[in-house]
Amino acid sequence: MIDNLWLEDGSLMKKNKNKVTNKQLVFMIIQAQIGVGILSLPHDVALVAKQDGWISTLLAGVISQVIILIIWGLCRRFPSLSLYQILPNLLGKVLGKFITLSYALYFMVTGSLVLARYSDIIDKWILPRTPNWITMVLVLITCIYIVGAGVTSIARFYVLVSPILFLLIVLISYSLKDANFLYIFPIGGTDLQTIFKGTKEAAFSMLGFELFLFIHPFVQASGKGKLKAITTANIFVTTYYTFMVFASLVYFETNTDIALTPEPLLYMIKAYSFQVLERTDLFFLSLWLIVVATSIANWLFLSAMGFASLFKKIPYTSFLPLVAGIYLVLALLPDQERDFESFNKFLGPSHYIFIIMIPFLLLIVSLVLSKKEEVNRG
Amino acid sequence: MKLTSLIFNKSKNKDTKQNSSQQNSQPVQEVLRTLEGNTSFFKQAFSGSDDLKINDINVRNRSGILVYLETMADKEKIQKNILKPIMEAEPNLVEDVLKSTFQKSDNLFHAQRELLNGACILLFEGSKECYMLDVSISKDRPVQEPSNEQVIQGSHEGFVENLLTNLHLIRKALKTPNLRMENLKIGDQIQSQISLVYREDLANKELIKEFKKRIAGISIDYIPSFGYLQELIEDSTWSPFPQILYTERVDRVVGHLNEGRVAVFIEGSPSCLLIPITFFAFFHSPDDYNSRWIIGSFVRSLRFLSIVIAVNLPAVYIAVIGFHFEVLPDELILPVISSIRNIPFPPLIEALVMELTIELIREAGVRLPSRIGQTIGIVGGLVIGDAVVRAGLISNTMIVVVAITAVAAYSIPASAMSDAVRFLRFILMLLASTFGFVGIAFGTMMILSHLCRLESFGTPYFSPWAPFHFKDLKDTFIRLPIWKFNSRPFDARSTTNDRQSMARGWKFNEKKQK
Repeated sequence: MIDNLWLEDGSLMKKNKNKVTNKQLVFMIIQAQIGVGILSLPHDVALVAKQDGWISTLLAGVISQVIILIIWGLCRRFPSLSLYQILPNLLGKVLGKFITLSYALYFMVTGSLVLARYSDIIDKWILPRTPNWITMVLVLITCIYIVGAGVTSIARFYVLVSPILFLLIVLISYSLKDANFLYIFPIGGTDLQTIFKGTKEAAFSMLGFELFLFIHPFVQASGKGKLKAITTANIFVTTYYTFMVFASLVYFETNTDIALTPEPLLYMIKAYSFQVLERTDLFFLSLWLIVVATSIANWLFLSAMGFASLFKKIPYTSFLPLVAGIYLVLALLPDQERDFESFNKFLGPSHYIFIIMIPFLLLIVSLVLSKKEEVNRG
Repeated sequence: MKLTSLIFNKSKNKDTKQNSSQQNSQPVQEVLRTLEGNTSFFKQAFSGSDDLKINDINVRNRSGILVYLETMADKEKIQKNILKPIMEAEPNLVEDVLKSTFQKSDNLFHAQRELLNGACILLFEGSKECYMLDVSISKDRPVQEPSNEQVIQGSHEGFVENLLTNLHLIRKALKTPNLRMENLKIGDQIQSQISLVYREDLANKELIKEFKKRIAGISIDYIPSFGYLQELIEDSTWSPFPQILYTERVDRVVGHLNEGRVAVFIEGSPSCLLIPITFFAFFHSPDDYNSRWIIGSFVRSLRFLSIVIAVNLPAVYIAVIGFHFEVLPDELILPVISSIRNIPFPPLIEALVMELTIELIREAGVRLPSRIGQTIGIVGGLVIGDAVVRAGLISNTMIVVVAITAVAAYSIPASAMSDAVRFLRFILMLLASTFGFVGIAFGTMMILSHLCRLESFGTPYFSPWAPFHFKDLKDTFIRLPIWKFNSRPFDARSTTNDRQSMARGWKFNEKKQK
């Protein structure tokens, strides 16, 4: 509880601006990981891995944990530098800046894809007649406001809205009363290769933990404490996703129904109603909006930080409107379901490069050159 | 007045640097040798104002003058406290009488300031010093319960417009030498006195330093009331939420002082400002602590429910009618439909008309004498409410929604917070009428995010929810039993965190013996 420390020693705000406690880090990572993918994940995974989709999701969690270890290993060597500062440090100014720029662009494209998928679902489920760009502008303004307040306030907000995740679980759990648990048999009926293919689908939804690369200098905790926090977050997200996939697998008959429902979770809760409330899915979606907004806010934050680190002495907040504008344009480009596919195809390899390859290479480079940040202790 | 303003402007810069040693930094004008000189000094200083009285007196063959402001000084007191003792004293004891009862000064500017506070000045021919005695007229309101913060049980004391009386009330309630009061002066041309009250052993020194820094940084001609002060020192003025709690209740201030917060009094205002404060303090009432804790918790959670209702209910209703009619269950659809079928307006207009009417009734009722106020309430509430429905302008369900919202909004104990809530409602209504549930979700998100970024003198405003402190939830939207309050809340940033240990020690001992 670092928050308590500064309260107790009485040192006031200035020193502690932009600090995040370890517990807040857990929620930040969770909110970054859980995003727009949650609705379509069961569909995507089940399309490939059939009734073993939940195993694929679990495996995806394991894989993310491996990547997390790599990322953490890199961050531990540079405890007070974010990736944007590590890059020029390790690779020299020119190459470093180039990769920084490509990171910023990568986050931009990823973020705008999330934005596009979000507005697609809003369009389909809640506001069919409202033009997409309006709902996008709405979410972008909200995100700019959230992100513009600085890391501490972002962290506070993410913790504050986290109970929503539990509400979503409760809503989904209720629908399990109509579940048929026989649907998941035979367990392991598909071969390993299919399961791994499903893992690939699920892994994309797990992305978001790379946020750690950029905010770890703000976290007031030891290296091990940070690893614990980020691992807790990953375990939570993996369990969360696995539960969601499992719930929809036992609810829908795998081979026929789930392929027809692009957002299985929504169809599940749409089916039941309470005494005072019908169309529970609308409430589910309204809550889900907040979860999505936090992850869009994340991408916005990361790309704005990237651009800011290219220039000296410009705060990232002044890039927010510009970056948000580009998000909007990029998100308006894909029109149809098909475009998402090609968008995804383009993004697939870049995920590997930016999330796995570059941090891994950086770790190796820093190990080989034995470059590491000098830490002044005491 | 030129002279005074010149003087105060000059002294301003020094004031900001050393507020505590204010007396030293004032300009000095030594007492003049001749009575004529002194007389003309005062006449000039007060620009010959008619209420300045300068009487000649003669005490045992020493001639002198008595200077006072007729409008500030009590003539009876002058007679009783000044003239009588001096005249009746033994000839050789006059000096002693003067020394023991009067305040001495050799600075005419000091005397001038005291005159403004209601002092009477005594000057003798050839003397280097002047004698002053406070004989001000006191026209104080009696200490009574503040009408905007009434409680059912508990103390019925409230602050008045007199600073000393207020400080007396606090001192009387907190009898500890650790209670410290600091006087500060603000205002460039006309100075007002403010008092900083805190517990020396609890209050955070950084916080007090920060407060003094902000006070020193104020440059304003005059501070007429606490609203000015509040706006000059609060963290973010671009917010509907009040970041400083003001209260007229003594017990409330005492409670906050005991948690390590700092109270600020301002001369002439019955309100006390409390810093640093959190969102949740606005929902507390001394009644919560005086009733049983289960009931107290229930009432508190009711208040939080009321803020949710007050902000969201009209918006949700508009969204349901305008966008998501399908969320209503079958049985509800018929009554709602039959109510809204023949209404000519869209739900937003309906809601706006009714909400604005309620706001108008309130605004009209507040400033009227209570008898007319009641009439307005009846005309507004019953007649308009009934008539608009009969006329088919507004639907029945909308009246229900608006009425519930109004009741909910007024159940928030602090009027500043109640105002904020009623204002936010309109924004959410607009969002709901354009985007339905999506608009409400984003509006709520904006509000929450705004609450997360607000700070009150360095304390997170939405603490203990953001940042989250599980232990401090004991006294937020619930109130756990008093014996659970072993530590002071973090948001007050008090220097000693422990408050009590084993508040019910006897119970513990009984168990141990068994």
